[in-house]
Amino acid sequence: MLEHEQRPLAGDRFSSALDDAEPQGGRYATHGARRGLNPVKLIVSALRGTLVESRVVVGLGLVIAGMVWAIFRGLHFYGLSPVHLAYDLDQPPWLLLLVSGWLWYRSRRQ
Amino acid sequence: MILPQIQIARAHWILGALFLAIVLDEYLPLIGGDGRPTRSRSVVVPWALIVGAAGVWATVVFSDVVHDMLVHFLWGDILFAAGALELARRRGVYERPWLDVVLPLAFLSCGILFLVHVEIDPTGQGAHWHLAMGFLLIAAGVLDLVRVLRRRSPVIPLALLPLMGFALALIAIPVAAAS
Repeated sequence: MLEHEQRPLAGDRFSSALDDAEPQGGRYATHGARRGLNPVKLIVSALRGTLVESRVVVGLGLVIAGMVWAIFRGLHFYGLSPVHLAYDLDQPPWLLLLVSGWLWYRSRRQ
Repeated sequence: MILPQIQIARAHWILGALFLAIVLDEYLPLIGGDGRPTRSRSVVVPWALIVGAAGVWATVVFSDVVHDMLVHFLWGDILFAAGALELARRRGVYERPWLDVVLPLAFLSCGILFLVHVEIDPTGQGAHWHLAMGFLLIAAGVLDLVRVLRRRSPVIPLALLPLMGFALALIAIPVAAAS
């Protein structure tokens, strides 16, 4: 029996562009270079590889956004007690880092 | 009970971060065991919608303006219904073709609620921001609805852009309001 997250949903039954994407963009580009493919196609396939790894890319973007935010708006330190720790973490830069961490955790191969 | 501005900002930061995590997890592809990108079907997403609904309902309790109470109550209802339906679907206990449009319709109706909020109180604080956020949600709902109805799924759906814009606005605007 399939796990909950592996069960196909009605929305996943239709033909999907996801199926067209190659497993790993970099590997595909290398194979393409060996075959002597069009450079434009290589760029497109490399771009597709970046899209496939988009969780890591977006996660990195959120880390940068959090750092920029912290530099320009500052971070407040409330203390280390449990209540104060909640206040410490409940600030936009930390929240962006937490979302980024969640994305990276969820970007692992399933 | 009237909450100070910073507490309102904190609630919006958490809600915005939660929403950002939801939409990114839902719409960015995962790498499957065979190395191919697959769509996330995590039950975390519907649970987060339900938790978000509880947060929005809390506003009904803490708000001191009638139309804020009404709009947030309806918003919470929509999030809860969408979360419950998605949870049932992802657990495999309820499967219907129309469930594909639950999330797009939830975004669309939440966007319309933002516009209703502005229509009731056009001179209220942050009316232009509410308008922009409403249009972002409506754009996301329409784009996602078109994607579902066309039965074609790009690697990254276009609806992700307005949804991210909405989530970041939810985080950023209370910062401006609180400072």
